[in-house]
Amino acid sequence: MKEFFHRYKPDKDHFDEYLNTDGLPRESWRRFHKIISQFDKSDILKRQETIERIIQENGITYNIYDDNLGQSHPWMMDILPMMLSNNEFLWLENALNQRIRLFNEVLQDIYSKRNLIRAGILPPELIFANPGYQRACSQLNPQQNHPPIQIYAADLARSPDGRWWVVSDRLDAPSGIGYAMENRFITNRVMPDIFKNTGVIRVQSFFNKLRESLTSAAVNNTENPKVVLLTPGPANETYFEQSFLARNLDFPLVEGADLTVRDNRVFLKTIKGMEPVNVIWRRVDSSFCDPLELSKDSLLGVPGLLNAIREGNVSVVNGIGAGVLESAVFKAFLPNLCKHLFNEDLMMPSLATWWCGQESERAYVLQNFNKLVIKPAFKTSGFKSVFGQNLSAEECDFYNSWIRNEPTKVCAQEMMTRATTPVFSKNGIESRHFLLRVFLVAHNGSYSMMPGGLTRITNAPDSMKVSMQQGGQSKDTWILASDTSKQEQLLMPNSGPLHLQRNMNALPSRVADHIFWFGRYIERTEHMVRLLRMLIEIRLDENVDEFNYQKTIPFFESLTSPFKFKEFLKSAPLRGGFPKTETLLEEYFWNSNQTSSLQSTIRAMINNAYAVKERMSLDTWFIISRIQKIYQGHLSVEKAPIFRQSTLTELNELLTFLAGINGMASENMTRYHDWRLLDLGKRFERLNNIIAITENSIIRDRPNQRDILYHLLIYADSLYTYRGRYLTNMKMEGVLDLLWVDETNPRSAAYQTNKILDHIRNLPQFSENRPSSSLEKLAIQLYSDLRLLEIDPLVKTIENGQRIEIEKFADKTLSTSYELSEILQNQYFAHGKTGEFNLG
Amino acid sequence: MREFIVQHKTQYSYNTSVMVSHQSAHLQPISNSHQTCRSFDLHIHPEPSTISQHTDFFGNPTHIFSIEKAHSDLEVTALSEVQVFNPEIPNPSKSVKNQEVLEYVNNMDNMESPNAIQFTFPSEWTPNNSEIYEIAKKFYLPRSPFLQSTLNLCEYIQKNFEFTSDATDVNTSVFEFLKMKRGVCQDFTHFMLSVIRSIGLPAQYVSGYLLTNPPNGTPRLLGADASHAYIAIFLPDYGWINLDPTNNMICEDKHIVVGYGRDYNDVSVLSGTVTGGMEQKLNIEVTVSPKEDWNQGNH
Repeated sequence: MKEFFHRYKPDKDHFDEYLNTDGLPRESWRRFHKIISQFDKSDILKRQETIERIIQENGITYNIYDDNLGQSHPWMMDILPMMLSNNEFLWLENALNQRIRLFNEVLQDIYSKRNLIRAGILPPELIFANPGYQRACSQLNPQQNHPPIQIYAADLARSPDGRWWVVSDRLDAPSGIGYAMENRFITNRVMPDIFKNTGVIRVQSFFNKLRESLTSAAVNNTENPKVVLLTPGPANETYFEQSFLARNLDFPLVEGADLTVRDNRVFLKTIKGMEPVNVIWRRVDSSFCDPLELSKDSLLGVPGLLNAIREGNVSVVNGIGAGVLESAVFKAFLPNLCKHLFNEDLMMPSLATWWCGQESERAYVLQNFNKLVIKPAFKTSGFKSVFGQNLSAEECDFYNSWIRNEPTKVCAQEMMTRATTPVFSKNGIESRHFLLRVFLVAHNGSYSMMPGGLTRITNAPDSMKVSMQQGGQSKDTWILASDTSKQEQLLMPNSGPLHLQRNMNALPSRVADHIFWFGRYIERTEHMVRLLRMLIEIRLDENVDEFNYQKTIPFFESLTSPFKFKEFLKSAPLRGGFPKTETLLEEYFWNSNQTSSLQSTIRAMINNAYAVKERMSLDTWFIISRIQKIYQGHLSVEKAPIFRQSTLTELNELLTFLAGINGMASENMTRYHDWRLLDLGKRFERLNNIIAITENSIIRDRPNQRDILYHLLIYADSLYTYRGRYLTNMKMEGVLDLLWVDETNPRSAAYQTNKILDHIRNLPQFSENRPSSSLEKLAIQLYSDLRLLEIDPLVKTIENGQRIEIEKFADKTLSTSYELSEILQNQYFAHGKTGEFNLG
Repeated sequence: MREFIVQHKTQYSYNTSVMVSHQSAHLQPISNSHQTCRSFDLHIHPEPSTISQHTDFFGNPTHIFSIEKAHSDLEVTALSEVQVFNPEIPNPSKSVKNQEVLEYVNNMDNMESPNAIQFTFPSEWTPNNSEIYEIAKKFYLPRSPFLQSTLNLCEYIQKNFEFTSDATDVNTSVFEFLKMKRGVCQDFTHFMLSVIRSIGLPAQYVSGYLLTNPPNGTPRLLGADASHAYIAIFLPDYGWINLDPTNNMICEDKHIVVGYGRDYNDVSVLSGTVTGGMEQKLNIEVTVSPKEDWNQGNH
């Protein structure tokens, strides 16, 4: 690696994190440099590849807006960490403490007496013309026991003289903690050897503080307060880290629809009933938190939430409305505010900012246009920051006249030459600009900074722009203890005696809904795969003749429906006198617009998986992300021919993955409601499929009935059992008994109904002591109908060539199953059935 | 001084059951130097599970209530008794000059300025553009008196815009209204506010009622009236004065104020979120009656 670093030549105009002006490694880098210099380049390359693999396996993603859900982008992390000395860390922590205190003070003022306006310290526009100012939050809860800003983040940049500057403050719903934590997990796995010998301060204690901080925000010192993490949902760009944090901090991850306000209190809707919520850690922007009093066109929030806060029944972190101070324009006023409120100098400087609403500032901006970044003064959509120097003459005129016309809406910031840091690439070590995001959390009366952070680097050497949206990379951030022996242990704190319990948090109804449907789609995918595999196999192995064509009909009917297949035949193109069924096969294989195609089924499975990601084991997630990869691969290849051996290989692989998911569920999931609902979904789906496909196969006698039965048994994975019983004597009665009535066959209909009944009896009941519910009664009926089924009359009653008793029984079973599933969903996931909308 | 009884009834009927309903109401008339709300009764059916009252950002009494049992009809009836004082009307041509008003409200040393200043900025429903600004510049010459300029603008609007209920709805923007030149009181009011604020002068949205007289000899009909919207402007040596652009007049003792805000959004009568319901039908009945008529049953 030595030669690698030797060739590193950062630009002399910047501060470089690794080399000082004499071209020697800086103090903070020395330990790391000494160790890593001894490694081979190939070793480092291998470790970088491991990083990418871990990211893939753990499904660490970042959603790019406007993309399909299934197409979230993998996170990227550079193997070389960002390094800061402990002294620098302590200085930043101290300076940012003052800054947060200042923000809290300003927030308290602008949401109550607004003395800062009266005193002429804050121009009234900054508040009254600021779309981020939430009037409904004024004097919302004067007695609250927690500061408006409980969790704070800032993006920092280092100037050529080595000083740190705040580029932006994150006050509303700061993101990044989870990604920083995940980066550290990766480091621990990829370079434990280096990490251990460098004296890096551990971050675990920060997460304990974060948990304590959120818990302590509960009003009235509630015992065991319930904290939930409110997410905008899986489409949000940082959904991954939200589910990651929820899982690691052990808070339920909830969407607005999971919560409800009753009696001015907030409750979580679960399959067990309503559970009171004490603290909401929100990742939903302020204006979307309550459609009743804030932005009315948002369904991300909880109607009535503000009044619940007003009545002192719930705490929301950070305080709703805190985002108003994120507006760039406030940076211009912070030094003055600090002087006015604390009589102190602002320790942590922000990028120099000029507000065009002030006359001399506006003149300065117009004169120095080329040296500045022109920004919207307030956070509004539709206008992005621009670099004055990059504008054409025409654009300059536009911005100039705009500044003159609407000066209060514009501000400008100095363009700082940011520091660089080395980044590992296959071609060597390159230098890139970066931003460091740091995190602080309120704890015991002050703010503790995470000994680490999220470093984001630009994606091109000459770029200043850092954006994960545009494919930027990240780095783990190390704070180096002055004393290497003082490493914290990566262990949970000793937090009092442990009370043994067997139950998990009650399942939110919405999550329950997704789990149920995840189960259904796993099974539906398997059904599709088995059918497609069989149809492709028949075509690959044999020539198309009348005999073989007839054989595939029941399975095509099961792939679509008997009716749709008939429709298809009417207009199907012919080949060699037979319908060209591959067009149908392709449709059901590739077409993601076709709702019952394999592609759509997989997508639905993955979407439901995403929605319950935080409740899934990492191992299960690993399989899901592999399936997703195959699925995305298919989307990128336009309709490759379907009759290929490689298609079969893929389908078999998919089947193995599905078996893997099922295996994980049956071996690793606690037999609690999660598992029951997942399994219920699967059982319903399998019941419906085995009934329908068997019906299609034996409804009438076909010349090649033996072959059809043979393939049916292969589909149901029951050929081996059948042969064990009847050798090669292929008879309808035997098949029907094995696939419908035999409770010992886990593929049989009776087996599914038995499981359904068992699950339903073990779901939480709202009224345990009543006689059987309609749910239970239907399940009993479904089960006993199958158990008591007489096979002979079914097979032998033939009218007009049709086995009408088979048809009758199948219809009845399917409709009972449908009804049962509907009642189940209404009872346990009821919210999904009713939309919310706004009046007036 | 005049005394009024106002009955404001709002009925929603839904085609499927509403499971949970959260509502926020601006129905209780404010008490201030213009008027006193002597009594207020809010009757809600079905019986709400919770109801609480607070004063909103603009000082308006606000009720928030929730209904947590299945229902397919919601009826909210507010009954208010209000005393309206006859205001002293300043001489429009001698009122404070526009330029001086601007200077006054921008000087934070003046007691009322930190409050009045917030009504000088455009809001969601009172945006402006160059066309609106050009109108404003014509009417609000720096040395003209603020009240006189505003009355002139009222007159201009009354002459050039048509009052009709079929041209606009609650979502019509001032720009559309300016193009069509037709609309209801809410449009007149928003437009007026856009013009005044484009100059940086202070003006509020007022939600309230207006007493109308039934034709001679006929009795007052129940529910024949409606909510009304008009404006208030700030005169430094006087305070807030209410004007009705729809009827081109300074409000005296026939206007009853419910509340003030930047625009309709801040004082909407009833707004809420329901779970379930799907489709809804709305029916509103307002009766504004002099107290003596009400007591005699001559609504």
